Amino acid sequence: MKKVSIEEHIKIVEDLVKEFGEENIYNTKVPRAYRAFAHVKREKLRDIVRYLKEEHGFVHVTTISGVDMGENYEVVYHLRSEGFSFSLKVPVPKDDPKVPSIVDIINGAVLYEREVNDLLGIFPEGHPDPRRLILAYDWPEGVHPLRKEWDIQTIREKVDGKRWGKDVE
Amino acid sequence: MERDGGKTLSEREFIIPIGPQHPALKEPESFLFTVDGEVVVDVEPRIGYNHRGIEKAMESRNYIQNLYITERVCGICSNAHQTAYTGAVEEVGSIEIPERAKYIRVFMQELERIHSHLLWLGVAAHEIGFDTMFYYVWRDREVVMDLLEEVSGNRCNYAMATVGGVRRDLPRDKYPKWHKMLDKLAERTNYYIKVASTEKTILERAVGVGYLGKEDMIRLSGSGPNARSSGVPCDIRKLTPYLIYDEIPFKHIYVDNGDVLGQVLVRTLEVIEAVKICKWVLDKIPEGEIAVKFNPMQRLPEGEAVYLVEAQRGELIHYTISDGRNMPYRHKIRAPTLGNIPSLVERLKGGYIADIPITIAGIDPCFSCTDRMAFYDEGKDKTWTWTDVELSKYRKEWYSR
Amino acid sequence: MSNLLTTLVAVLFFPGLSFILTYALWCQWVSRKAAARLQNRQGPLHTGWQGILQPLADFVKLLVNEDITPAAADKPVFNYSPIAVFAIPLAATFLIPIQSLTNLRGWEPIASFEGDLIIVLFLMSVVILAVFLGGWSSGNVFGAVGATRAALMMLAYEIPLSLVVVGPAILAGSLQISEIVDWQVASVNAFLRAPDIQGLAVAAVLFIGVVIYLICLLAELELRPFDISEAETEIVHGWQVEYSGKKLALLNAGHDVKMVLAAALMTSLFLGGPAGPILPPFAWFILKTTFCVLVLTNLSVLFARFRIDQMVAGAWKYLVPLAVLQVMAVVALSGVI
Repeated sequence: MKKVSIEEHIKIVEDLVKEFGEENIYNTKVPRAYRAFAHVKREKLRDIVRYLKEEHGFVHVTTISGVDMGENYEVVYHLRSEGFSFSLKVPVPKDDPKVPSIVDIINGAVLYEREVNDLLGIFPEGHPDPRRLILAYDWPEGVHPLRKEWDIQTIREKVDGKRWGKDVE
Repeated sequence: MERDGGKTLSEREFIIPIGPQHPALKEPESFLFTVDGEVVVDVEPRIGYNHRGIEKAMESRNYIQNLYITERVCGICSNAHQTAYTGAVEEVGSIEIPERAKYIRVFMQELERIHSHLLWLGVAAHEIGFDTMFYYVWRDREVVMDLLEEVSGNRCNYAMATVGGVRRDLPRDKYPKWHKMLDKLAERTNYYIKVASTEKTILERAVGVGYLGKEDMIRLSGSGPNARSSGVPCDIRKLTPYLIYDEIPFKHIYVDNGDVLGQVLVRTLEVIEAVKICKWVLDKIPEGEIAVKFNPMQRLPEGEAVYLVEAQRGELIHYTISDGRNMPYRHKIRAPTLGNIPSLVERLKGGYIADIPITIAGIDPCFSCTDRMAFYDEGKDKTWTWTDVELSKYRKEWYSR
Repeated sequence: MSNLLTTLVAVLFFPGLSFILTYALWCQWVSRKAAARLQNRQGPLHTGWQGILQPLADFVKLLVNEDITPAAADKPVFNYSPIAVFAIPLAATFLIPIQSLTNLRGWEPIASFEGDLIIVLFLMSVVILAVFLGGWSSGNVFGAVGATRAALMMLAYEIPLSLVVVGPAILAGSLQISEIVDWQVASVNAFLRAPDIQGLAVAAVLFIGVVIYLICLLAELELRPFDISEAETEIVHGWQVEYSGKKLALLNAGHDVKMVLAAALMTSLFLGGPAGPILPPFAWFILKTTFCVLVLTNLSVLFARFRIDQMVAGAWKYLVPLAVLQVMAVVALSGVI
């Protein structure tokens, strides 16, 4: 097994910053070998993913996480090339919850984007089949459980029309 | 929402639902198959029948409580989830765990891999209608179950890892006995490799079934034995070593069959490697502490960590974000099965109905893992708080629809 | 009068209805227990000695269970086909010689006439028709797939089965089962008195017939590796999927009776029927058919299930030519003898 040092991974990240500029890819950090994080502008996401795939062999998407960060959402693309896991974070404003789909670049993202759409309501634009994947068929529209504003009781009120649980007399 | 997506079918095609309840699926999940005679034309997976809301629940519990939730994401890969979870939390909190704890975690992980792969082998034999092999494999699997019980006190959900180390030590006087049990496992697994690669009826049902080539597998981001059976070297233990896997000598197993036989070979050969790793750990394990102190109310610094683990079924990721409190701000889990479903769909297309069960079973699906995200739990919460009267009322309403 | 009484006893009790049903349950137990022991399990254990009453208990339990007819089913066909599946093989067993009621050392079927072998074969095929109708009318996709598979399988194994059955009939020069049994007894006795090469040749050719017959029986009885039409893990018991309660009880009993019929036919055509030294004929019948059941069980635990296309292709590529060759050899031999 060849040993990979942290320098090589820092070099990949620096190359990416040089290619796309500091305004499009910022807050980069490489906490240890094999791991890197970076913020990415939504408009540049597809270009950066394509560049990473073609230049550095990031053909594998481990998963796509959605996070409600308070003032905005963040969609985190965990890409992997061999052992190097690179997490691209895309801030998404709350009043326009959409991201460009990367399915045509990395086919493996097909279910993860639907998952994020279900659970955080961030619509993948250009997805070939953006239907519901995880939530039940009779789940009300517009309830996205992993958003921080939804807690268990409010969702129950919305779904069942009444509250359930121990705090009901 | 339309269940079949409003598909239009040609005259010769009809839809066969496999699941949510089906003998070939050990857990509730739905696949809608469009078939033309006996040949599968299209597949539509529909997951989400096992929602338990684990990710949401973890956001309101502290790091020690979450330990027990992560373990219950899945019964078979409980230890893999715990390893990934503790690893991620320790990375955020910069907690260094003792060497001995690392060895014990690896030992548990490999024992669990043996038990899971043997379980899979039995199930796969059952899916192709070879019940005799199923009973034999599961009888021999009892050896590793006994071993796990002796090590941890449990047959599954071992509760071995904790934040900062492990909870139980491996008593040194038991090692000779464990060596013997591991030898027995290796011997029996070698026998099954021989049976699976020579028995005619198994080969008829395994060779060329559910084929997917290397390029397609990479394109669809498959992982684990599923991808390694198509010739993709993707073992996380080799690619991005965690714990002490960079010191352990073991083979990176992948074959380029691309079919069910390839999956059988990858898994059985991995059992042999796992036995070797366990024996190596028992030989080399250093003395010392098994855990550093971690207070349940302890706050972690702000930060985030991605922790990748090679679970039995493939690449497992735990991604945790801490905002400085004593509970995670967000904890994302992606179990291997979800990542393998796109490649499974490709494997199924063009196959026969008769090959559906073995092809689905081929990726060793674990839908409990896959479905952990949403949190609305009908079954469990309601039976908890419902009285008999409420239940019978609900039943009446249900049947009078 | 006494003749009528004897016939009534023969039809209703021994060796007719009651005997066959009890014997079918015994065969089920033997088969389950043997399969379990071969697979390193215990099998039925708690009802009676070594669980010997378990098949009966299962039958009674199914009779008590709720009987559901799906709304989408074609009701008359759906309801009557289990009766056909049960009754047709039962009727065919009346043509098999087991034991004479008037003569302890004699055997005669309840009904016997020239050409009854053809009737038995015909009845065995008609069962599949009932199976197909039952599965198709259940209004279930799995039922429809299972029914289609059952029909396809019949197309594959029916021809070699009929061909090899004709072998002993040609040698005996009769299509009557009891005559074939008589011929076997006579020729075995002749062979024991004066062993000759022709006798060995006949035995060798008939042995090939037995092998083909056994393979076809595995398919006929939907045992592994040919349980394709009811494959549990694929199509959830196929054509039986919607049956429950009394209808399922009848289907299961019908399956057991079919097993008895198949074993009995094999005994009559290849193993010398109920004939044998010392013991009375029915005892020999039980011994020989139980042996057949054990052989079938042993074969069925050895293999994984085939796919329908593999099974049909295999039958037409290997079984049919082999069966034709066997019949040709038999014809040649019968010319020599």
